Amino acid sequence: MSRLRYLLSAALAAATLGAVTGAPLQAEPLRIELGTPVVEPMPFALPRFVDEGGAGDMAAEISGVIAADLAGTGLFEQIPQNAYIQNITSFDAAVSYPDWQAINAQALITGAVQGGGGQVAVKFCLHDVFANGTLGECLQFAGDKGSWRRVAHKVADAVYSRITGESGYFDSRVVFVSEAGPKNQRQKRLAVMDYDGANTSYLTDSASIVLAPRFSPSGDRILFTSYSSGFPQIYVMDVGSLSVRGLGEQPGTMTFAPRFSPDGQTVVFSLERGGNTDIYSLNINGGGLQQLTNSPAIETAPSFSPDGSQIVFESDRSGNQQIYVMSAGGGEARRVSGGAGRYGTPVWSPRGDYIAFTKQNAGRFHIGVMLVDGSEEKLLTASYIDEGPTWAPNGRVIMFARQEPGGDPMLYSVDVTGRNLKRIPTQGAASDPAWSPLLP
Amino acid sequence: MRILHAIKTGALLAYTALVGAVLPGATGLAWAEAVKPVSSTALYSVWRVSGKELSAKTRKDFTVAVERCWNTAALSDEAVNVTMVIGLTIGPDRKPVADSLRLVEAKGGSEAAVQQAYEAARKAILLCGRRGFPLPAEKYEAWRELELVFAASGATQ
Repeated sequence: MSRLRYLLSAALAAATLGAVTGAPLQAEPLRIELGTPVVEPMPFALPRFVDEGGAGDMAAEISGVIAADLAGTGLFEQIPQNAYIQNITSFDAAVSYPDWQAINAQALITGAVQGGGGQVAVKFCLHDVFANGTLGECLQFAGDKGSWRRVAHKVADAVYSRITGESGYFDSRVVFVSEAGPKNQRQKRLAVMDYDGANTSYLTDSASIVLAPRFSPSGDRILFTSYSSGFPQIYVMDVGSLSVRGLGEQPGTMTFAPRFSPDGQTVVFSLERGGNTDIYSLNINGGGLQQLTNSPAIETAPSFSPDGSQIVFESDRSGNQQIYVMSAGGGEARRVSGGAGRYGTPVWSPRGDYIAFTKQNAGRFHIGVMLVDGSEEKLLTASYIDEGPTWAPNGRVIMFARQEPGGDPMLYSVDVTGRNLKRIPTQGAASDPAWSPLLP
Repeated sequence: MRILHAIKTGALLAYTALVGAVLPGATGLAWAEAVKPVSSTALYSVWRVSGKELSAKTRKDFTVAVERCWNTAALSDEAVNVTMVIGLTIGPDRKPVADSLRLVEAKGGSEAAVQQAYEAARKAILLCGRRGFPLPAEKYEAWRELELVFAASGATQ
């Protein structure tokens, strides 16, 4: 009885409240909080692109490069093609989404290739399988047949960008130092390859030792250090013509560790004079030499912030190698590295959020990242020798050189989170990688 | 310059084109990408988390069922940090009604980041709900309309 009285009272109170507020007493949806997502590769399906004429094996090869690009990030996982239920035989055929849902494909990429007249054209659609439709518009990329891998990378970049919300990095190249011969007679020459190790070509011969190549922001020039004059000097190469000219030649000095400013108009580098090494800047045309640091210490490895306002560099002014940041015009520098060990080869992320570096501590080398104020240091790798980080154009992946005891240096990449460490296949030993911008 | 096409449902649409020829072996490639505007979905408010007639165990079971399909691996850092409320209707068969999913509120990121985060959350609901969620039939009115708060606090490997 008392329970009935309580319920009636409650109903009356509720009705009164409704009358006072004038609002209908509708139940609000129940809210439930979720806080623990999983982090695992997203399964995707990529049926072999349809040959719409003249493509031949290229249709399968393009499909393979796209799948390898996506799976190689560690963020995606390709569902084996023998698990597919629907057989895609026409680009325009309706997609049976339940068939792809059944195999847990969270993304589906369908496409077709045309290969007539020395050209290749690839059209593709990215499907949101659980929304029964395409994710964005279907697109087409085209180019010379000889550029089919670039076309494939473009497709993969578009897919990556749509799913992650970040720009891709597959259609990019890496310049590096290719090494050959015995260690006491090492031959080093500049080489350039696709980001995934394919399409290697050589930019210099092995007549003189070369070091530390760096792409210009537009990818059309490369700075590097060469011993062709008998001592280190910096040079700039036009990538299209392979023509080379010296930069900032000063009698009685050595210059090395060059890097472009974000606008491509200025070069920062180290200059050794009378046993002391400081950082200087120079107009790309060779004029306007300016000294940026003035210290009896060794100051080297300068790298601009993406907005061009600051330079990060390494110096042993405190007694051992540490990382410092100063204004792009020089002046007082602040130390940003603070942990145990020695820090070197800092490189500012193209996103501006992190500085990548090499760290040597307790007999091990590491590639790490820290926020630009030096906080939140994360070591991404550990090895006998890991050194020389370079950022992917989207700032999400770092490539570097690794050398095991008794072995040759090889190129590796790792995600900025520390996941997905993998070796980049090269023809022989390789060191000093530098990533190009995303190609136009 | 080469003509490039944006294709939708088999028909060619408008597009833009750029030409690139910068590196050895890379000459003559042209490309384009249609730009799709992102809808304005960023809403900001203070949320209230309610707990009505469902038992703690039911709520936990439901939460786990959705979370195991909520995959943030491919999202940018910004998108991972987006917190959002997604409203949905669940049918008597315990499966989500696909057309009912809607972004109620979101905060903590750009529109693009919200869009990416929403897609991942929506996919989680549809993917893990396709065989029905573990919900008690006798309390259908309690769970017919839900608002799910996605706030990643500890992503698990």
